[in-house]
Amino acid sequence: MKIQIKMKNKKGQVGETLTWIVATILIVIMMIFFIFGASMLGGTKKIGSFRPSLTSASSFEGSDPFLKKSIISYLFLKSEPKRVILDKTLARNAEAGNFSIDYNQTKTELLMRYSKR
Amino acid sequence: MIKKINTIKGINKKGDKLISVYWFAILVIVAVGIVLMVNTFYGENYDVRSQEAEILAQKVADCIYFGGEFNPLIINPQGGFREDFKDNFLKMCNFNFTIEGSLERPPYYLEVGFFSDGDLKKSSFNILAGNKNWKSDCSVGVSQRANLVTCNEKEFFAVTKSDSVYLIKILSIVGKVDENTN
Repeated sequence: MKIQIKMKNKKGQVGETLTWIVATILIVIMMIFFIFGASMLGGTKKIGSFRPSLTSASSFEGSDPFLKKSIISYLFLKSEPKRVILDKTLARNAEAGNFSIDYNQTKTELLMRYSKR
Repeated sequence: MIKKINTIKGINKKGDKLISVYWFAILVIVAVGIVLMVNTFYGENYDVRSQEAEILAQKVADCIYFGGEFNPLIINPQGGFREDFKDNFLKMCNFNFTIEGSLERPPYYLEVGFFSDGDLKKSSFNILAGNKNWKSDCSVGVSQRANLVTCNEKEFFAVTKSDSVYLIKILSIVGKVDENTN
């Protein structure tokens, strides 16, 4: 009777110990995985690549001031041939993807704004 | 029978103690893991040099050309560029590159080129300011660019009152390599 109880207890203990050893190994592996993931994600962050919605401006305001300056120069130009050349150059740059906002939309909006004055 | 039960209880108590120690160990492992994760994620630097370089370029552009007009300090009444603006560029545009209480060279470099529409290859006027040593790093092509300076090149067209068109190229460089490389 004594031996039977002891045997049963030992089997139970071995089973439980094995379960917990496997659980511990799993916990440690998961921790290592998460720490590695955190270090990968946390590697010197560059603002801009994280939240494109903050940097890529779909609206007209507060974006590409260099394009706006060029369009204002285009609007202020008196010589018609120079205006045509500048417009073509800017359109070529827009096709090449050099501007962060839509060239035609910005041009139209600036044109409307300056024609009101 | 009473002895037997006592013996089983005794074993159970030992097991309970062992489990408690085990749980404590797991708790410590998880806590250390969380601390490590948070530390590695939030402990790293934020590299804002590209934004800094862009803001610097924007400030230069605004100083030179604003609202469709050149800064009157750059162009003289005859339509030529003024050399004194070039010499006092930082002061006239309200830039301060000096690091207070240090003899270190500034972590910034600025280069502005004015190209006439007649000759876009040769600049008619140049402005240089800041630490020239950074410039050579811009052309270096390496995979670990974060270990070098951040360069930002912008250009726009400007028109003078006499209807001359200039392509203005601004190169702004931010060093701060030590602060942004771990």
